[in-house]
Amino acid sequence: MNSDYIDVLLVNAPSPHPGSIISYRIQGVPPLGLGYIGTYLEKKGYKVKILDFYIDEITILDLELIVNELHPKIIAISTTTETYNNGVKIADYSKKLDENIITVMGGCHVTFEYENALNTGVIDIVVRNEGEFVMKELCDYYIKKQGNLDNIKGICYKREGKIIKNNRREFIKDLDSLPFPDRSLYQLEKYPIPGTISTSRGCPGRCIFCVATALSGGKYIIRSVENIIDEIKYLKELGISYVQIVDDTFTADIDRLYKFLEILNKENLGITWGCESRVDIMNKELLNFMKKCGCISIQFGVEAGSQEMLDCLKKNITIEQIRNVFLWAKEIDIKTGTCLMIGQPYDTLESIQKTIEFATEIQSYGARVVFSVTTPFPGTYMYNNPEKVGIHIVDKNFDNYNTFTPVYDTKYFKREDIRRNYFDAIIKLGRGLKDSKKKEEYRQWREFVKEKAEIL
Amino acid sequence: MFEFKPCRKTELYKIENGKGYIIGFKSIIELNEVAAIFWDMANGKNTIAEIVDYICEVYDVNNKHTVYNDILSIMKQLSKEGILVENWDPLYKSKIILKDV
Repeated sequence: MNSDYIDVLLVNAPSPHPGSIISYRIQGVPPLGLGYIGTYLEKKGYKVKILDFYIDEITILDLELIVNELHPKIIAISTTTETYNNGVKIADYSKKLDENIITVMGGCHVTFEYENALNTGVIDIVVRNEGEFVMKELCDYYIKKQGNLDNIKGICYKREGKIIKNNRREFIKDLDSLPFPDRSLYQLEKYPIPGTISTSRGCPGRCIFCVATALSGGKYIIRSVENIIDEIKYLKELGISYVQIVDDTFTADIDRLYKFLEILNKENLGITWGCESRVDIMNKELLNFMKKCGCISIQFGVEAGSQEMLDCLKKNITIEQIRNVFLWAKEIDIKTGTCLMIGQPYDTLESIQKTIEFATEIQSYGARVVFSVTTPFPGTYMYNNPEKVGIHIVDKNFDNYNTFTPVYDTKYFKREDIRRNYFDAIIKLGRGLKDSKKKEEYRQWREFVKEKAEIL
Repeated sequence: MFEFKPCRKTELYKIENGKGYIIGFKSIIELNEVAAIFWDMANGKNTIAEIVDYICEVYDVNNKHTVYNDILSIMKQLSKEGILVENWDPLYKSKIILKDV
């Protein structure tokens, strides 16, 4: 056996849209989930490589080269709803290169849509939810010929034409026990934001449109502050000076947040960082403390511009809380960003107008505001209960499940109406930018994006 | 080129009263009816041949050659604006020419 051979190739499938790949050139981050799995497998003695199709130079020809030269026994493909179809194509291509390769698919989409994935005939195993322990057991089974497929919790597969769904695997409770993702598995220099860290899994929220809620069932499992700081120190040793905390929500456990800030302040590591947060736990003192400890940017979940719509989405936040947070952030000079949805199931022309007005208001406080189109991802309450929320899904092509293409009709709008409203909202938001300095910043930003888009 | 699959780089557009409007990098780009149909179909899945056939059907046109030339002209303009990939496959990206070889 050639010592260069690998056991597992971990693949990050790409979006079908050039726009998404362009976006990755501007704000792309390494796929941490694959890093966690790869590192855990390495610690258990398996040889692993990551292939991220979002990196510009990476194409299916690289996959072919790896299969021909490094002979992976397992190719595990991570997909979202948007990237699922491309993931299937990669699995199909892999099988054509070598029919003996075991193809595994994981990620938020197939956790719920495992039947369709298995019925493609090119995916041998679907991993539902977390992949570290499952992949290790799959490697033991397929590579060391140990164990029994029936006993591996958290997978689905086909046997004699029938889909077998093994028992659910419990969520990993002790995240501190997982080794930090080994950053040498990535080509870090290819990512605009190479320094990322995941400090928790899941989300305690109950938003009807959100996959994080669907995946975690409302559970929120956290790492200890000491463990997080140790990983930040590791990133610093790699020369990273800005860390993006990529949790769905970093600030849900307020005691842990304060402890994190206290230790970060004491350690004086000299790094800056950004995160995502809900608005309801924020106050001015906390924001000040975050800034003092190196926080330079926070993305807040807003989603809608009226209390009625926020309540329909089960956001459990108020317009006043949102407004306060952005006003405080402006005063304290922390960069903020947010996204508001157009075309959510309960939207009317009036509610969309309110969303646009509120977006313009938040923008005037210095926040970077974008709009997205509400998308019913598989597994979410919205996807599972279309009649209850009043939508009729007319487009089942998952390539279009990307938060900027409408895929359903509502009680009030056909999907082409939603597209028009989305377009008009962006135009109105742009016209609402009055500050000449901000206008110039926006113009420069568009030039920058154009340059990045030209390479395709 | 008939088998090329053009793909728009942005989804920030609308079609209203038959005309297309795209938020470009510097300005709003307006498209006439034929260009709007092309743009809407330019999703990296439809070939130029399929788009030409569809337009010929919608407008009851026999001369495919004329429509094909019009489409090529539209593609050239939109590529120049930086918002269109003339032939797209996300698994090959810029190496798609090698695939055809």
